[in-house]
Order: sequence, then C-alpha cells, then structure tokens
Amino acid sequence: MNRNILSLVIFVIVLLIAAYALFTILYKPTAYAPPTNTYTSEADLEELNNEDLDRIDSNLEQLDRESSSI
Amino acid sequence: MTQAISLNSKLLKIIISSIVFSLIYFLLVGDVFAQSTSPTPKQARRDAQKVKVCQVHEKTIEKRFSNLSELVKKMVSKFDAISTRVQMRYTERLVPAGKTINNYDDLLTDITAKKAAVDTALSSAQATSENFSCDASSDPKGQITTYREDMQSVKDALRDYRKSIRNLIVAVATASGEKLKSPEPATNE
Repeated sequence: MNRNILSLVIFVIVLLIAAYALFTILYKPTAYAPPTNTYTSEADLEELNNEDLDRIDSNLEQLDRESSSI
Repeated sequence: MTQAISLNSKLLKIIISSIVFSLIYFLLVGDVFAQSTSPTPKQARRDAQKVKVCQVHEKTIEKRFSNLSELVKKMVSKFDAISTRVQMRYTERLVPAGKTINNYDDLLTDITAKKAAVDTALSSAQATSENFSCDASSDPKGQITTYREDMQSVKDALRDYRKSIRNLIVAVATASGEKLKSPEPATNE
C-alpha cells in the first residue's frame, strides 16, 4: 500500500518535471520581449520626404482657375 | 453814349461767358463728381453682374479652401507622427543603451517652434477663407489673393517644420550609428 503511494508520488513528480521541461522548451515568451520596432531612421526620412508640399501649389492653381472669372 | 454802349456790350460778353463756362463746368466737372460719389445705373448693373458671377463660383471656392485646409492638417499630423516616433525611438532605445544627443532639447525646441509657425499661418489662412463672401465683401478677388499669400506662408512654414524633424532624424541616426541614404528630399525642398 505504502509502496504504491510512493510510486504514485514519484510518478507525479516525474510527470511534473517533464511537463515543466517541455513547457520551457516549447513556450516562447512574448509578453516580456522587447518591442520590435520596424521603423528605422531611413524609413522615417523617406516617409517625411515623400510628403509632397507642391500639392498645395496645385490646389492653389485650381483655385486660380475657379476664381478667374470673378 | 458810344462809350456806354461799349461798356454794356463788354458787360454782356462777360455775363454770357460766365454763363457758358458755368454750364460747361456743371456738364463736365459736375458729372465727374457725381460718378465718384454714387454709381451710375450702368456701373450698378455691372457690379450686380459681378456679384452674380462670384456667387456661381462661391461654393466651389469655399470647397477649395476647405480641401486645402484638410490637406495641410493631414500633412501636419503625418509630420507629428513621424516626429513622435523618432522621439520614442530615442528615449526607448538609444538612451537606455547610453547613446545620447547633446543638442536633443534644442532640436525639440526647434520642432515645437516650427509647428507653432505652421499653426499660426494656417489659422491666418482659415480666417481669410472664413471671411470670403461674394455679397458681404467689397473685394472677393482681393480676399482670394490674400488667401493665396497666406497659403504660401503655410507652405513655407511646413517646409521649415519638415526640416526641423529631418534634423532630429539625422541626429538620432548618427547617434545610433545608422547610415542614411537620402537625408534630403528629391524634389520639393
């Protein structure tokens, strides 16, 4: 009776150790991972330079056409 | 007797001349004064026609004002987003790694000042556009010209704002050891 209980306890302990080992191998922690910032200075600069300020001029030219007869 | 007749004749000539000059004066000069104080029916008709033509285009022009304001606001918010992103990268990645920029605060102060300049210029342009009216304004064409000048100021301010953000990006890149291919815009700088 006592041996059976001891075997069961040892089995449970071994099972827990195996589960823990499996967990640590397979589980990839994401919550504490550093943020993966995909932006670089180059990307920021490109986005900044791509903003075409001349669109203001093209709108003003349209305004000139629309108000030419006034 | 003959002297009296001659005197009367001279007097008559003077009187007639005065009458003729008065008539000419009132016909010509008087008419000019009348034109300057109140419009003639012909001019009033022309003004009414101008107002009508203006009214036809009023909605389109107001829509154009609105579109331009939205365009500028979108540009500003895009610049803001880029600036915030660069600042976060600096504080979250570079500073903890011990990489700092000596004039970082100056760069931020410059960005704040340049953004304020954009806001001021845009407010001025919006005020001009809000005052635009074919009926209430005596010079709607002049208002459009003023708006145009205001928008050129907005464009200049936007260019300066972009330049100040670019300075920050270049400083952050230099501090992090990143090499930049195109620090300057290709076309519209």
